Amino acid sequence: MQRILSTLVRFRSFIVYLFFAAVALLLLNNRSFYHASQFDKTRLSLSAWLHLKSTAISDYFDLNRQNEILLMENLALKKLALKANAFPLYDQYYHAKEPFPFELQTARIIKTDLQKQRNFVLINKGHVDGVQSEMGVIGASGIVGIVDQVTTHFSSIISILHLDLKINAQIKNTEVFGSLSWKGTLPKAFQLQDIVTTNPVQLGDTIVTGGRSSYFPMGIPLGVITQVDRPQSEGYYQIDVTLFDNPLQYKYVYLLNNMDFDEIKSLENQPQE
Amino acid sequence: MIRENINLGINFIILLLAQVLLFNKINAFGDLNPMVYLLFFIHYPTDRSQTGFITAAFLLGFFIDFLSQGSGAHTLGALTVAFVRPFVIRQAFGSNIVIPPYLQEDPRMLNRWLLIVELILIHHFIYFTVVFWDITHIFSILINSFNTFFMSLILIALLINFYPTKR
Repeated sequence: MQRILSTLVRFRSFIVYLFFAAVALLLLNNRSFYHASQFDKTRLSLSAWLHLKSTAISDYFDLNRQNEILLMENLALKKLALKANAFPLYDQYYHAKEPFPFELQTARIIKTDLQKQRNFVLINKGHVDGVQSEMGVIGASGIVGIVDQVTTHFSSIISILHLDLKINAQIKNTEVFGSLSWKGTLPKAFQLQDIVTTNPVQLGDTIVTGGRSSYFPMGIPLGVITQVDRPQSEGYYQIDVTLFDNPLQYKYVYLLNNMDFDEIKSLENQPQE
Repeated sequence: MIRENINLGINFIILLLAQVLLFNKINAFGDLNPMVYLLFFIHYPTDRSQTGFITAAFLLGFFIDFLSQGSGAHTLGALTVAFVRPFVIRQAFGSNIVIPPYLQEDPRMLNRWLLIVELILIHHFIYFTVVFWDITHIFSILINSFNTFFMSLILIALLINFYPTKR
């Protein structure tokens, strides 16, 4: 108390000045319409500025929730986009309207790496969320991998950056199918194999998923052809593909649940006659 | 002491009436009015209480505004000049010397006029800032401040000689 008082006494002239200045501004506000409107303007811009700053701060803390909302919105849009990509292709190649048997759900990546030749990704969804082994996983634009092991709350994914994983792919707008696999170096450097040299292949052609597997629907854009070699002795091209997106950059991914998966699997497992 | 207070009161009233009745009606070159009441801030003894000085300055500015239908610019200008006077004195005279109680009697001409010029500039800048109250008119504020500054300085230089030198 003593200190407060002594501080007040020490700055008394400043306090008196502030007091009288406030009185003068009050008089100014009351006596002059011009100044009253100027004060109003200042008040308005000040409060707008303050409001802007405070919303900027509260928006920041709201980002997580907004991310969730956007993710849900993206999930619906992603499903529509996949259908839109796939439907014309089914129509074009099989001359039949194929039903779209995939259900989508979101997940968040909790671990990803590029250190090894055979990489895995961990996500925060497991049995309780309906995740099953061998579900396809895609990102914003491109494939992430295929679900491998599933625990109660987590799952591991065989990354597309895994030397043993081969994705069925086709060159867009042609009937040329091959299999896409990682070269083991840069995360975007892939190769397209098993394409016979009788097929026309050009630089800059787009590669999409082929749909000849139960993991992914047709028509998901993957990358473009950046180099084509035609070895003399073999009957297959050596094609280099660069992905549209770095598979390491995704934070949120979409799990594709093929409704017909069990049926297809049971058919595959039937004893051959 | 009492005589000094009476003198200050008379000085206050004379400057107030002179400003309101005479100098606010000059309107030289259109609208320039010298502000001779700044003599009050030069003349006021430095050994008095600062809060009393600020209060007197407020009253002087307030009455000038009140009697000349001003909005409040004189009040804020006078108030601010009274508040910053100790700092300006220290700046103009140097911080290590003894401040004379009556500034207009101080023999150091250069320092004295530096003080007067600074006080007038500060006052006019505050005054016109309050009158325009819009940063986009900063050019008008500066032009008006400088023009009025020269008129005020000339009149103050003339009128300061009317103060009695021996006390």
